[in-house]
Amino acid sequence: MNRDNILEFFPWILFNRLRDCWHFRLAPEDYQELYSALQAGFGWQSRDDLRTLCCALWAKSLQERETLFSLFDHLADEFGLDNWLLPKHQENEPETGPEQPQIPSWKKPVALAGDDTPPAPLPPPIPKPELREEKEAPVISAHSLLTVLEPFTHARLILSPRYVLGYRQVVQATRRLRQFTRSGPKTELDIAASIALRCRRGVTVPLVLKARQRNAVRPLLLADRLGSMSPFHHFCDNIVLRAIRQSSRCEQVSVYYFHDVLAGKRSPRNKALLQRLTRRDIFSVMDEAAADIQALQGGYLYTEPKLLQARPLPEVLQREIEGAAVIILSDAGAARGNDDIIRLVDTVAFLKTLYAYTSSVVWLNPLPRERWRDSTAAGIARHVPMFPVEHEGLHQAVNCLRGQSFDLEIPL
Amino acid sequence: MSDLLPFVWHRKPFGDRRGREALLDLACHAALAVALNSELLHLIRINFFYSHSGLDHFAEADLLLSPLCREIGSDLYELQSRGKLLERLYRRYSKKRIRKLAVLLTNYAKSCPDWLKLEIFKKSLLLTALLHLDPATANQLMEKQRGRARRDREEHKWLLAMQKEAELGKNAAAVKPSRFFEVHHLPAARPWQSREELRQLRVWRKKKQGICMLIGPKGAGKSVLVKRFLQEQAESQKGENLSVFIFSFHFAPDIESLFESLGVWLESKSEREIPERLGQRDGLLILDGLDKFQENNGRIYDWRLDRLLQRIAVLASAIVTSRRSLPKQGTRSFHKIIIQPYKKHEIIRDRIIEDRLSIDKGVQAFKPIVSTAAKVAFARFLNKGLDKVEKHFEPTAVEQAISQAYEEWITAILGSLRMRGYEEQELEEFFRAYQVDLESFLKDQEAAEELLKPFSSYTAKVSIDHNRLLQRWEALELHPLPEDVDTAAVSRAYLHRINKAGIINPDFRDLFLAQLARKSAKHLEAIL
Repeated sequence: MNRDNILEFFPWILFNRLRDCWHFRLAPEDYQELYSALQAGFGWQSRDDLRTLCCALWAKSLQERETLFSLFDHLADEFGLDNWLLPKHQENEPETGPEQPQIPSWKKPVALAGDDTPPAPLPPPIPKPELREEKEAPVISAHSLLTVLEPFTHARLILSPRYVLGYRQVVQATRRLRQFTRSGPKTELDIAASIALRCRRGVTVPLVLKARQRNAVRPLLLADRLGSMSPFHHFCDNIVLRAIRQSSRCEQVSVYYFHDVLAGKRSPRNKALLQRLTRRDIFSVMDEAAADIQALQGGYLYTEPKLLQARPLPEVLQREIEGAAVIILSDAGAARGNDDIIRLVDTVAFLKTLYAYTSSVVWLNPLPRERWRDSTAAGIARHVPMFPVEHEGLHQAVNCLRGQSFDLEIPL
Repeated sequence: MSDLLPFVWHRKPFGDRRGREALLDLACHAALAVALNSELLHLIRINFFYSHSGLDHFAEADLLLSPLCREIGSDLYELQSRGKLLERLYRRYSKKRIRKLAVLLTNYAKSCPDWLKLEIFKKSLLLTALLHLDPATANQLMEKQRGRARRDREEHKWLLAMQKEAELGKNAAAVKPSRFFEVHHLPAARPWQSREELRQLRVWRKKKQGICMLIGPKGAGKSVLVKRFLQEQAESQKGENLSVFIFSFHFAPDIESLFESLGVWLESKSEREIPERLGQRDGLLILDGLDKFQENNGRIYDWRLDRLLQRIAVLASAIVTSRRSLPKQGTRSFHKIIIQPYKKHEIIRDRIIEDRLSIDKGVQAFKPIVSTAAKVAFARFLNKGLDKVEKHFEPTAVEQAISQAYEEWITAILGSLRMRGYEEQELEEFFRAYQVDLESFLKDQEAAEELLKPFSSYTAKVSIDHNRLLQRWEALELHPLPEDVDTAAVSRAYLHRINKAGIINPDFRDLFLAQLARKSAKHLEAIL
């Protein structure tokens, strides 16, 4: 396969990779646009030029630009397009470079068709870092090493995460979480009431004002930390929690943390129940035992992610629960695949406490449904609406918090 | 390398060897960093495995929670066995890719300065990156630093650690792929039955050139035939001059990986050189599962792969397995062998015989452990003042019965692994990895009590509490068992086997009940 073929294939493979692997929203028309641009003479000056052209036509955000640049360079290296033609930039270069590649006839730019294009030079070599001779022996520090490494750091790589769910998707889903009530100072004109008052009195009366509509939903986020949730910390903190906090358009968003289950003393009744259950198969007996589990009386939640400042659960609930939409974010043992009866009973006890205050509770699990099987997560999902943290799951969770009914196997 | 496989977490989607190999590939990339967090691992995955269907977002969590990773801080991890992982990296991937990986680490450290709070971590990470990008400069820096570090004890220690890091990188870089390079593992026949197609393959090999296509439906035994053929070749040539490269598209449906690994193996810088170099080396290329890149009419839709095969047909030799035949075009011609599916009932029958043989072999390996554990269990009896009772029985008979029961338990575990597709070599790996753990477990009093429960039961309806056994295993802080061990099934199989083998006779039951009675009597005494 010669270079013409490679050049014919290259944009097509790039286009397909962007669509299939990186889910760029590109249609055949987008490819056609590039084709037309190339025919019109754009993107032929250099590799950078073509990259910029692809970016201008196909990338819709900074993240997409970064991905496109990285993939372009990767593919270009693979195709051996390092020493690509640079007709415009090498006017002053001597004609001793490598043989100029042929441009396929359909791609030859109109304006440059008759030009004598000089050969392409090799890209300038990466300057080798030279250690500066100093009077004193140099100290290896992060700063000095970064200076030494500077010449190597020009490769285009993706440096912003691409999780299964983006910040924007979480924002879009949580914006649907709303329940409007009028509260606060009366600042809006109530036209109907004003007219009615005027008609009733028959004389000029002051205008009737009403309070603005406000979103009364108050998300109460309870996030599991450490242990098996550690690999998801970055995703949960920077995507899920940040998006809900910053853009849910709610009056107040409260976040509390716990580890695995809520810290607190187990009631004697639950202790006795556990002794009865541990030696038997969990799921077959939980149908009957769920009713016997006593709600958690005490318990603590933490106010910061390092789990150092505890606050009693009753106090938190009294302060935060009114009008709250409770969102629990935890893997429920699915990450390690643990099947832990103690965790199940303690979690059910806590859920009972929560349900005593509000029925607006959902559980978000960062792992997909198929990973819940044979773990405590499957047991917990029988008592509380549990959804995976993905596009569809998040919308279902919001629907549930908006009051849509959800069939539970064993409601508490 | 294969000895690291058991330590890759065996979550169900990754329960097969394919998934574990993919996780090891990700792990060997992550091993370049002295420490990593979840975000860095994510960036490594999306930069280097973006088209790898076997590695999704959750594979990152699987790796971080596996025994291969150690948590050293909040969302900060260190990989175990980095030396071996780095060797895998250098053996399988090109220098260009490794340099790119080092650049990623540098850029990440630069763009996210807060992720490594300690300066010492940060400079270790950067120096490691430099060691892989420009070893000479890194060594020069370290040499200059050495004079200054004599005054500073901490700095001296750090330099020693970095010296080791440099050696690690040097050793890994010196690793050369062997002539017999198995990028992906081909399944072996369980057991092998002589087949006509093998003879045809031998005849073709004598020509030493061209492509041989093994065509047959799924499960016909194409891959196992190739595996068998290679084993034969290795035995006949004593593995000296056999130059083979095995790549399976079932494991990695990725053309880039194929060319990268081929480039590393043949030390060639461009794709064009590959067929010539392969021919010069008298190498044999094995491509398993070509149908992933074929259209319905058999045409290969990836032009790079098509070009490679066209040139190999003339310049070198290759065996390709597929469900579809390649269309004849241009200069390409190939030898075609049609594989007839093996009869299913014959496979099952032969597999049962072979399973039995390999499990027996495994049990033999565990025999010393089992007899020691049985002695411990029996000694525990005697210590409990049952010496009088013991007089009525043959002591060796009791010990033997316990030993037999333990053997049956181990057989049940091996059977469970065998059912999950563990082959003989993998079972051997399991022996090595869990030998000490199983011994400590069998010697444990609570575990022994649960396992020997059938001895004290008059009814056959006794059940083993596998949850209790699992809790005990965890309490003893032993290595987590592979996910493939289904503990409930193992307990059921164990009970079935000891009942079938007739290990327990009524006399033993009396003895064990006497032990229990003594225990309760002592307990009552204590209360009263």
